[in-house]
Amino acid sequence: MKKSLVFLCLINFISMPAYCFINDDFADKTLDKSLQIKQFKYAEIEDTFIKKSLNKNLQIKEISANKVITDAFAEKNRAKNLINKPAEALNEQIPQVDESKIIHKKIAVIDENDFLKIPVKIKNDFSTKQKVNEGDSIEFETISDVQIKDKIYSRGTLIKGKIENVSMNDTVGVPAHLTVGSFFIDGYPLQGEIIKKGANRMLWIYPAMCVGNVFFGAGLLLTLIRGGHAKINTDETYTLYYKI
Amino acid sequence: MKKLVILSALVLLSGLQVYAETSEVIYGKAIIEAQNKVDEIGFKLLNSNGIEHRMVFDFNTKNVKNAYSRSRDRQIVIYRGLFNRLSSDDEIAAVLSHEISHTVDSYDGIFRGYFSDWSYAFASKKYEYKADKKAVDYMVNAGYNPVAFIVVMSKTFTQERYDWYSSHPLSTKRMMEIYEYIYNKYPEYLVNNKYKNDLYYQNFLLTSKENRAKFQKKVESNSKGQIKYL
Repeated sequence: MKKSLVFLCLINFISMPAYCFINDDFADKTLDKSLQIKQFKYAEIEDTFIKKSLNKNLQIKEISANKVITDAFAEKNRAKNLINKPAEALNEQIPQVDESKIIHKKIAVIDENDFLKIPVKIKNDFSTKQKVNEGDSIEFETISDVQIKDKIYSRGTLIKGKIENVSMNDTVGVPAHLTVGSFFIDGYPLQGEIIKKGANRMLWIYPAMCVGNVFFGAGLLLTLIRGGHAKINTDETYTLYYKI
Repeated sequence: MKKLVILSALVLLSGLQVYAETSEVIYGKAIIEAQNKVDEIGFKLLNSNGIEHRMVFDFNTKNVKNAYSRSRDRQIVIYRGLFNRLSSDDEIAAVLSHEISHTVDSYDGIFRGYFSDWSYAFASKKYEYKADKKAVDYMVNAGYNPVAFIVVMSKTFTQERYDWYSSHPLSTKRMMEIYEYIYNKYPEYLVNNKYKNDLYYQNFLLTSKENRAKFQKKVESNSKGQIKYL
């Protein structure tokens, strides 16, 4: 019985975490005990260029935590169903609408998210064939009259956009990619972006290359073929959005 | 004496069992919480950016420091090893946004993007830069701070010697491209930089001196050319 007890005690001891403290006797003996650790001061690294070059009044825009996506079709049908109510329900007094209080927007087309749609097209044909850099400006123009804050911008008004991301076409048929965004019309920011991609020749180059390689690696020559350029043509129309 | 022995044995055994159950429950709860967090942030990013392609998010318990986009079934996987290193929603959003961008690309092309992986295989670095920049847009549109992307990279991304043999560009180059993109498109986040004194952002500032000097020169000279970062 005693053996069992001892055994149990041993198990308990073994399962306990053992912490051993090792003293550094030599350091204790030889070093001056009045020595103090110097107050640590974290040397902050500053991005002085940001301070110097950017406007200090820039503010981060508040973005609502959860964007509500509405089902316009279901809403429309629900309204329809309400009209098909039983006859007695239809006897309700229909409120009179004061026509004078309705503001008719002259040209603006408003979608369900309170955005003014602005159809635009590029002023001149554009392609990544020419030397293109991120940050370059591209000119677009409106293709119909638009009204922003009581001012009507006639057809052909200049809209400036910026190349936000560009990657050139490459060998093995890799296409060029182009993203244009940061649009402005008369100083008003517009939302929306134009994403274009060149022809992806990789889809036929790669299989042809595999077949060609059977003949003494001849397929490798196909790797020199480049992908297509990303283009924006004057006959293409795009929609940008102005938040009302 | 017998009773004493039995009692001791019982105490010991029950203690072990409780410990085992508790740790299992805690671990299980932690996994559910992590998955919920990933889902919440992931779907917020999708909805806020109006991304009309379907994809789902998976928290994988493997202790691997990675996340990836599986184009076959449009699933974004984030491993526990990386997740545990992320300390804010902004940082989780950074990782997910980058993978969302890859998944959106996986819809591109014929047969519902069946061959999109080929494009990636032949020009992976190009797609990585593209995904990084798109991730910044996604983060801002969903109300997250894009500077956190630099923080995540500074904290967790390794630094290869050269990138010519790697599928990804050097982390230093990626961080600078992101920094440049934020500077040009969302400068308000650098002016009101809440990560200014963050340990990892500070390290970015420390290690990117040479690259930032190049960028500064570009801005000051109004040049448009592409900088070759180190």
